[in-house]
Amino acid sequence: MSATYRAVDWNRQKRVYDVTLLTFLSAGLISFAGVAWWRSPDFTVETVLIRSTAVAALLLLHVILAIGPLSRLEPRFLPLLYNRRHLGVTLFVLALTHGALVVVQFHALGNVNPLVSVFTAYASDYRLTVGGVWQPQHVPFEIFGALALGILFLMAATSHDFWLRQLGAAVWKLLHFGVYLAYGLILVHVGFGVLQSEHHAVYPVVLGLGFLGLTGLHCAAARQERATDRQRNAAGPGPSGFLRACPADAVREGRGTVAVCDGRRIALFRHQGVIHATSNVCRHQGGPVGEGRIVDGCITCPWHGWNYRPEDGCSPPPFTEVLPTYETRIIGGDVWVGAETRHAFTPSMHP
Amino acid sequence: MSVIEAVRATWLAVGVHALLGLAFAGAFLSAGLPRVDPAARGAGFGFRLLILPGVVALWPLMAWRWWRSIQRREPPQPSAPDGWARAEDLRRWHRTVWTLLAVTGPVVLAISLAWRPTSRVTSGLPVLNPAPSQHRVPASGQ
Repeated sequence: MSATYRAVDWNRQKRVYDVTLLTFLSAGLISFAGVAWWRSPDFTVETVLIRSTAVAALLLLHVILAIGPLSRLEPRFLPLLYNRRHLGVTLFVLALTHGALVVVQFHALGNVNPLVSVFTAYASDYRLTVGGVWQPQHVPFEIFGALALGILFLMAATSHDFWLRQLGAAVWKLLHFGVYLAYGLILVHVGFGVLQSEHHAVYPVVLGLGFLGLTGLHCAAARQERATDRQRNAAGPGPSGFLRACPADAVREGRGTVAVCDGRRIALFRHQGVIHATSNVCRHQGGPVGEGRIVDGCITCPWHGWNYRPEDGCSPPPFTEVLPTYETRIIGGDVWVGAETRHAFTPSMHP
Repeated sequence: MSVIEAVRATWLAVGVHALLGLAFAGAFLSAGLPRVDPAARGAGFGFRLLILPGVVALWPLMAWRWWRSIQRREPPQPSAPDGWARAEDLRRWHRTVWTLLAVTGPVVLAISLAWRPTSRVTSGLPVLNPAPSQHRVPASGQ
């Protein structure tokens, strides 16, 4: 959390994250090159580079898409989520390298601009029938790859917090939902690209397993989240305008607890014996505030460490973000929170 | 319009957008950035370099926000979040998107496997264009 934008807020965790990423990436590229040349010694350097960057990008995309549901299902994966944007930028660089190598290797040195040739070299084969007979030819899989690369570029270019503020939470999230569209486009790109020439079963099997794995993870996380969203307040008398949250004993000193009230997730913190209730959605990137702790008297979001005072939800000076807070009452050993927010809040980066 | 003409027109549009974006970014990152976002006041060269690609790509939006800050003599307020960006709505959108992917993914893979030629050499079909690295367009008049 900083008052002035910096390129990257480096800290020890980010350095470890990036070093680990680069180490695995390098090891993966070298391993793939070794296996490729062992199996096919006639492969040229360019071919190995093209294929290795493609495989690395595809694997990295699967990792990126798995982090979200994994961190929901098992909190130990949360550290992978904190700097996921670094993976996204790396993915774009890998994909761009792959595309550039393809353009240079297969479309340079002709009399057609290589950037035009990559989409038109097989234009005469974009047909489904020959002489009235169903004989589908080349599918322009390059276009799908280029579209996916464009989406990845836009995501990488807007990954900084500056863009989250400029675009607003809704537009920024919509833009970054594009990763799913990019994944679909890449499936088409791979399916109608390399799978057309490589007939070994390992290719579709590995691709299919990756797809099944991601789908399974997202389904499992969705089921878990749906079960949480469906929790309702326990029936019973209470003060009007208040909703039952949870037993007071469930809120530990210095720790956050998440309760669901009328479909909304509320973060509860006990600080110096007093229970405070705030929105569970961090003003930064929507992180689950209630899964954080009280540090130096401030609620601390577990994702990126944004701070809020528990009494009023305000960030400590010089920061200006405000987290919506709710009035709380302890009745019969249970915590009840006000149905409406107590303070007007300034829309920041996230509702 | 032929495929080649369509691709050339597309690249021309992309190139023009990028050139205009670069020209705008030079002025914006020098003078307009602190007006649009006070938190960028005093930000270093590394930060400005990092947001350069986004400014080039989204220069119409940033031009509008810069013009609005000049008109109102204050930085534009951060865009108010829309209702659907709430956490509950995002989870619902995730479910929708992954349901779509779960249906279309296997269909795409199945069609691509069925699309494969039964042999590498497809006899009886017209001869394909020369190898792409030698892709040549006949000169006019030939």
